[in-house]
Amino acid sequence: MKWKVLLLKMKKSTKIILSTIFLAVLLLRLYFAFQTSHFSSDDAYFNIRHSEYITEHFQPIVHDDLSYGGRFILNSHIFHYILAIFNWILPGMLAYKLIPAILTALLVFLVFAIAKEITNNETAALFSALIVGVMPISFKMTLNQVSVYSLVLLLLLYVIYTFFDLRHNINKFIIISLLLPLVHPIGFFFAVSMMVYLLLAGLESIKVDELSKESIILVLFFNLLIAFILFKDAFLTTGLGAVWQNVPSELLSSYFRNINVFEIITGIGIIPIVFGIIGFLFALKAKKKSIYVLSAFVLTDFLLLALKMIDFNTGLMILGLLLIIISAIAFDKFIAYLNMTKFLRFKRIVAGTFILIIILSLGIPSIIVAKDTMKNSLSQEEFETFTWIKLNTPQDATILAGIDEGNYVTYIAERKNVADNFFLLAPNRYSDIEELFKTQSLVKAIDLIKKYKITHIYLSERTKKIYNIKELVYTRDENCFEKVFYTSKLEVYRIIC
Amino acid sequence: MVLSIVTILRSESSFLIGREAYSILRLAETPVIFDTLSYGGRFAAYAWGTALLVSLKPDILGKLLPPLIGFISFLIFWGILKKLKIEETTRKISLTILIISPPFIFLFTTLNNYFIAMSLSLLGLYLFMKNKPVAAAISFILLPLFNLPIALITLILLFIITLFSKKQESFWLIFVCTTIISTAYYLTLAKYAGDPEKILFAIEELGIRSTIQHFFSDLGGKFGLSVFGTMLALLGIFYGWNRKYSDMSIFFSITILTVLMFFSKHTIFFMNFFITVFAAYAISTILKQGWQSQTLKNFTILVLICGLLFSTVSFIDRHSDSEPSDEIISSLNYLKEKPPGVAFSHYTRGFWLEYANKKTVMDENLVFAPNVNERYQDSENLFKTRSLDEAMKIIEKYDIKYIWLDESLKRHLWDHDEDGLQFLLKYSEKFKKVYISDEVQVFEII
Repeated sequence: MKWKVLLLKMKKSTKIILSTIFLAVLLLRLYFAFQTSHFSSDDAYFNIRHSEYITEHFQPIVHDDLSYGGRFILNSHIFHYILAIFNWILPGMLAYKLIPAILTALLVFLVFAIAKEITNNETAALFSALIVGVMPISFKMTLNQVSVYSLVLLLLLYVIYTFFDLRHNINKFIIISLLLPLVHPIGFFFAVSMMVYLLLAGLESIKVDELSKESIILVLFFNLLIAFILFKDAFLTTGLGAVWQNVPSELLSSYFRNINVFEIITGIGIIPIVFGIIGFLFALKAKKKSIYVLSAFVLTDFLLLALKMIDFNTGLMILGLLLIIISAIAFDKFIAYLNMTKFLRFKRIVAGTFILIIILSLGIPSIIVAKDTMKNSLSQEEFETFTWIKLNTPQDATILAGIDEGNYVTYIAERKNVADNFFLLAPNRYSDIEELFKTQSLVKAIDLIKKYKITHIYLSERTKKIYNIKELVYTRDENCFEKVFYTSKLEVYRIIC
Repeated sequence: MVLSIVTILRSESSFLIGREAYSILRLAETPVIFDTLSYGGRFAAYAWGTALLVSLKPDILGKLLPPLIGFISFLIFWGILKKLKIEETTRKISLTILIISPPFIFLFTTLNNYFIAMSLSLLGLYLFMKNKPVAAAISFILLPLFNLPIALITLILLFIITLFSKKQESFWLIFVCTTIISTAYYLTLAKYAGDPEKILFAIEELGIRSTIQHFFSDLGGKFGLSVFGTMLALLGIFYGWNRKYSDMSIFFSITILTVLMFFSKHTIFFMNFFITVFAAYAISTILKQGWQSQTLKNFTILVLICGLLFSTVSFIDRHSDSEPSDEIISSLNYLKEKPPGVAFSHYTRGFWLEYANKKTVMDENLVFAPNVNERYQDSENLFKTRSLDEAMKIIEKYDIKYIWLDESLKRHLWDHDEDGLQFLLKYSEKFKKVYISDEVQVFEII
């Protein structure tokens, strides 16, 4: 209903520009995604494997026989089901390339709608929509990665949008807010932000309508219920460690990092940060529900980032989105100011210059980030090696690979891995893997190889870089190790002792 | 009905849950001043109350007393709520939440040293509120015999209640009597057992994360609060915030109990009663409040019911499945038949080994225990060593004849199959494996 009103009220030119932005963002993403037939992160293969399994068996993998040599997977699989439906319609890898790109590009419309809601200025909202399409961190996190965040961010923004006008959107709000925690634990971030909103409103003596209060109670308790139902075992075994996804302590600092200003600037871009802060300052003067809701989300995100309770890149992406939306307020004020000056005559030139600045300051970094992300994609050489493993090793073989290559082993090679980066409910094997790649002692290596019943070792250029090694010294022992496959960058060893 | 679910789910042979139950049952079966099994022999400086009560008919009371006292406590709590003039709907909801709360289920489905103490505390408070100071004083005086920390927390609560009421004289009577009895009891124990050693090792994992984990059963706490119930209680506090001045003692008690929870885990049992009242208040407010959206209201009520039940079901499932298992009991029965001697295991397994009529190096009764730190260090050394000489020195020091290990203990102590003592048990001929099952291994020292 609200969408219809929004569309009816929109100028024709705005509709054209917005659609052009959407198409441009989508095409840009697809251009990069189709540069390779593979994907740009190991996580992508986790999602693809689970979704393909659902397409084939109509049920998810609950006990994964390959990951960690056999373990339970703690996941709602909603995203995998959605992918499975599209995979059924679009066979092969097409669905995995296309659907996440479309979902991410759709953010353009939502950001426009929310920005329009808070500013009532289509031009300002269009600027925000353009910026969200070229936000660097979004390319880093979602480009060609079959990332759950493509869907999660869309749902998050939509539920915020419906919350602005609950009276007309109550059913949509209920459905999305109940769906969000089922798709991803980020639902909890939403619930906490709603609480912060109540707190902010209380502090500023702003009357919160009853419907909002009632919705917040539902959101809070539903999130709590889902968290404890879905992640019951994780909470029972790792306690509060489940909040940090049971990430090994050695890796924790790379996932949950300290706030780094330089990373924030390169990830979000200088324009959203500057205009976001200005917008935030203007916003606080206007005692408007939508503004306070957005402020609550920014505060919560910042707080969670500061307390290292949210994965840094995820937190940064959400912060970026929110700042871009709030930037619209600053754009609105800027446009209004421009209209009062003699620059009004050069309105088009100013707008053009501004777009140029956006492209230069955000578009170019985004393309660099995109190229970098694509460079990290699985190479054809790696793919062929995993395919070789699949064809030339016994069905029950266990392959040692880097922790960020574990899902390649399970999906492409279809063999057991020692570990991968899905840490929830998984045993902590990080230090042992590190030891296996770094040690020079044959005795230590054999001890660990026996412990995990490893039959083959896959040594890639990535692993060499991570552990700063040139070779596995202990594999020189020909009585124990046989190099069964190699290229200029990759080696596969078979354990024979 | 709720309390009987746990009973139904347990098998007959391993009916009693936990470790403490086996200590109480053993003491109830053979009440003695000098305990010949614990720490190889020590003065029985324990809280004897529960064991003595159970000793009247150990085999029956060991099983029936906790649920029976649980039912009585339920009635007393009902009386307290009535006395506090809590509205009927809130009262009913509160009682419902209480009986499905994890701490309540834990208290009254296991044989432990807290359940009678908690009931006495409730009874004392009820009598105190009913202006029966003498009867209340008797209840409170008996408390230290059952559990000293619970007696102390009760006194603190009583003090807070008195602070905001006019019954100060009765309070001082109770306070003085209970303090005298507690001190006398403690001094008697100290006289015969010697001054207690300061424990130099961590009984539980330290740190704020681990502490908070113990507060909530959903996070793995043994008898923690329900997260859902606690959140509801917070909502209840939010709804009742306007009444903070008229119900000052309640708000003040909650604050003090929150602080005390960090120092004594027993405080959780007290906190649970407050949580149930506020959670009930939140629910009754939600029910009464005119909602703008009926859909939201229906969903919220459904979510609340599911949430409260989830915590209960999850806890009952875990609690009824907790140690000791049938296999552990079988191994203890086997050990019971073996000739007398010291059985060695982790101190957390001490009560079980003593139940199998074997002397132990140490158990969980750490207060007033002889050389507790030295024994702990020696035990740790024995678990970690791969040197036969070092191991034999410790074994000879305590005259150890049996070594008892279960799978969960092995996982806790060692990373690999051949770490520490396991290496010796596997390769040395000094140790003979005399009992083996999927879960337990018993070795005899030759």
